[in-house]
Amino acid sequence: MSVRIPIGPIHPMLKEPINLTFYVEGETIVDAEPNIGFVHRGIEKLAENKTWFQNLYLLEKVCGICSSSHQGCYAQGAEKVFEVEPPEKALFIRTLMWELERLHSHLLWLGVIMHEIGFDTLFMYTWRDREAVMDLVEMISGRRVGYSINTIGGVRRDIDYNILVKTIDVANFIASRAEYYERIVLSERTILDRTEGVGYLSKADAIRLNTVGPTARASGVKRDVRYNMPYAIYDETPFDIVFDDGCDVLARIIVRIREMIISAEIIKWIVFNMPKTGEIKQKVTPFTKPPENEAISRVEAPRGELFYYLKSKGDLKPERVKIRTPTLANIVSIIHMVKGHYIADIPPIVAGIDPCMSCMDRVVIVDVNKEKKTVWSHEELWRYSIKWYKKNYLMVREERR
Amino acid sequence: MPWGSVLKEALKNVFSKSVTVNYPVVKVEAPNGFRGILEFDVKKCLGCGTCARVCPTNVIVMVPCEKTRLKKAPKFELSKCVFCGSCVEVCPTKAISFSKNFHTAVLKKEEIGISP
Repeated sequence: MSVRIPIGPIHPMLKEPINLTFYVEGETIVDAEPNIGFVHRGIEKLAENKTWFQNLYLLEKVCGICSSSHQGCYAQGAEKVFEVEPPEKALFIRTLMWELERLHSHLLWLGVIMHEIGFDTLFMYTWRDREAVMDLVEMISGRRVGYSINTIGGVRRDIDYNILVKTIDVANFIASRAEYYERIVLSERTILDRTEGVGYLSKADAIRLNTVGPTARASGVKRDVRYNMPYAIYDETPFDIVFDDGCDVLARIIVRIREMIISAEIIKWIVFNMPKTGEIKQKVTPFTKPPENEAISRVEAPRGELFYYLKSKGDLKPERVKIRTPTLANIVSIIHMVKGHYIADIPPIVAGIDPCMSCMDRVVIVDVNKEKKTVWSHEELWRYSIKWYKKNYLMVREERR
Repeated sequence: MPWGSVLKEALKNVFSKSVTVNYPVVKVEAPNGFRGILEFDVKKCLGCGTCARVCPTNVIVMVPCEKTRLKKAPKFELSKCVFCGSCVEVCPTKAISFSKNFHTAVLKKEEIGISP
């Protein structure tokens, strides 16, 4: 039997190392090479040594931002393995958490991309607004991060009437703020100069490279698991898929901002249509053994399609847990996005796919003509890009016209 | 297209109240249902050991104890705890519960353990 060493699922995460090699001619990038897998934590293997219920809290730690997507996706798959049907109210609460998570993830990302282009004022505003959602999820689940709301066969906590009222307030607040941000992004010259036409990924390339989530939708590809393959209660929920034909970083910003408005609408629909009474979980105990079975589960995480494969051999522990995170699908598209752009455009392009990794750990720049290798930290690259644009923005603007 | 579209918002924020809290000076209250540091009541404990079996991070170890019916009681090493609440959920006598205390910073990790 051959031994295969899995790469992932952990590498494409926020604040985690990735090595990107860019080949440049002068200021222009001619090629790029991402090297991933520096923080391989072995979670898939560890999941085989823990019970089905213990894995709920382990797999939540795959990602700190989309923890509920991971846990919910696993729980959804495990329900297929256990052959139990979660009650309707549980699905409503689970979906509510997914949408709240999308709100705060997109707000976080919006702050990060604004920070990358040097617009720290908007970074402060988005992160301040994000606190409203964080306080709400803390009230619902008891924790700001790692909500642990899902379990196999339903959810663990019911939602109070008072909290539902607050949810409506928060959804309205975020929707109004998102509209304000959309207005700012489309009118502010500083943002347009740094994002319009940067990181171009054509529709054909987006399909060919199997990009997922907002990255694909910003290139005009209608790819959304909620829409194409409805799970939980998304087949009943009325919502429109958001997409843009801009294909650049600006389009990625606009898609995410509009998605926040749609998410706020979904949240309001969920609150108004949630069953008032009813069970929130099926009777599955931590010592229930599942039948011999296998299942796949897909969820639209804030960053794109999240995929789980689960296999059971009728034991308390799963035989195999396979995870594919959205960033792994998107990371290759960076190579195509950066080609032909300036070094100063690297931070917004890389941050543009929301790589669950706020900083490129280290960037190696190889000048093809001089064959000189310099290693830059993310901080240095960020400072360089802002300084470069201050000096050359008139030239760039002329060129893009 | 104009420069400085956020200027109005920025000026508004200069004169409004700060959104951050001066935390160690101003006390912050956790909301109801907060999953803080665990609390354990040895008087209610049976010593069944279900909590130790469900814990995903092996926080709980069963040690001999004269105070419980089955002569065993859980010992919590809370520096490993991920606050998932599995033990609180499965405890048949509700001997384990969550507190609202979120101050987990200590000089020695033994300081936040619970022994029966």
